[in-house]
Amino acid sequence: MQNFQEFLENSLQQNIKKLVPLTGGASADINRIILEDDKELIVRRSLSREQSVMAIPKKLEAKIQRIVRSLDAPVPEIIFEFSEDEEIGEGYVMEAIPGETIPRKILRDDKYANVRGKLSFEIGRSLATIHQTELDDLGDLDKVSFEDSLKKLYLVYSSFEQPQPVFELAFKWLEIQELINYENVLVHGDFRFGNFIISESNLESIIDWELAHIGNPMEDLGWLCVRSWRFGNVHKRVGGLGDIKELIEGYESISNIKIEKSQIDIWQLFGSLRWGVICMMQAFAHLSGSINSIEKAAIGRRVSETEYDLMNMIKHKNFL
Amino acid sequence: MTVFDRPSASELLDAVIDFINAETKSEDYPANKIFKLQIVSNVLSIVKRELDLGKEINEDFSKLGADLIKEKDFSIGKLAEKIRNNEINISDKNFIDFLYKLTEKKVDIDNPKYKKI
Repeated sequence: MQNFQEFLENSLQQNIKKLVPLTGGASADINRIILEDDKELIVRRSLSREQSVMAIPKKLEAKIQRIVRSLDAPVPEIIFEFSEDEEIGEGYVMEAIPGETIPRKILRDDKYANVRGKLSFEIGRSLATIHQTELDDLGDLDKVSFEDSLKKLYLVYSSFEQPQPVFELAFKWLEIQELINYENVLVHGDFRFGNFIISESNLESIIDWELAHIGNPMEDLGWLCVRSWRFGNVHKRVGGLGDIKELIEGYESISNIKIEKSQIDIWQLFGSLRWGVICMMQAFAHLSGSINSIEKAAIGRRVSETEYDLMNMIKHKNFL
Repeated sequence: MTVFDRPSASELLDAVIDFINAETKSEDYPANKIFKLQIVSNVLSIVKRELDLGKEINEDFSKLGADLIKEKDFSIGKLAEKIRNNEINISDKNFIDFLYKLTEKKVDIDNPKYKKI
């Protein structure tokens, strides 16, 4: 860490008072940089190629953020990028946006009472902005179709050799759905509360672009509606605080894409299945012995929550 | 029949869970430690519920599952394989009801609050 701090100080030409580790994404080492004048920045980096299997390279993450920001979507400004030796890794430094990311606080603290009412619309509008990104500028980003996503997810699921009849049913159910082939867009890939920085008055920023790809615009909308991100407020489909009607209104206020609610339903079901498989991934990272973690072990028993959601959607057509 | 004295395994787990829950309310613990202790408490609660109810659930669903697939022996793996190989009509009401009940029972063990919210 000492060398990394020295590297950052040399690059920024300022002394760093403190480097505070933050909770990482799927494959990122994230630190808050506190400079001597108390100004704050964020550094995101990947330390080894192995850690980056699921995620796009940090250089590409930074490029996307620059492009999306130029469209006036709320995204932190990139200060500089680096690609150094194995010890320093590859990454970028960006501005630190003040605000809250912890969903339970945003959902429950009094100071967010005013912003809660308008977040669903704002999130919809910001997502529509992101989805308007020119794809010509993103030639190095993977195109992922619904069929590809299903196949990849099935491969990951089946690699654990822990049969889940509900998952098998969900894969079959998804295979026979009639999907609208919307024109491909830039998909954020992890568009949900936890990756939104919220102030008392606004959606300030959308972060964590490491799963970005080119694909169906409904993927982001469906993922946002997955019940696992509602934190107890299950009747508010958008992150436990907003209705889908406001989300769609926000999206369509600046987009020519006309959203069919039934398409969000399909992608929400896909999202629950995806989250279930991710829970398995976490648990098997522990079970395989690669990481000894009580959190990862515990998350293996959250698979049943996603099965319960999947069965409610399939049996009762209940997407709430 | 058990040769072991009270407290039973389940009662011992209750004691540990109560201890952890009381400790996490103490102001002496830093926030990140409280979070981890709450996870430990949740994990032990799963273990306790599975210890108390798991055997009966496994037996019930072995019978129900055998009836569903019309075979003497049932396993979760066998059912998954039949779905995968299109040997089960996924629109069949009995099949859907079976999976729904099974899922409800799993959530009852893993996180019973999840059904209530």
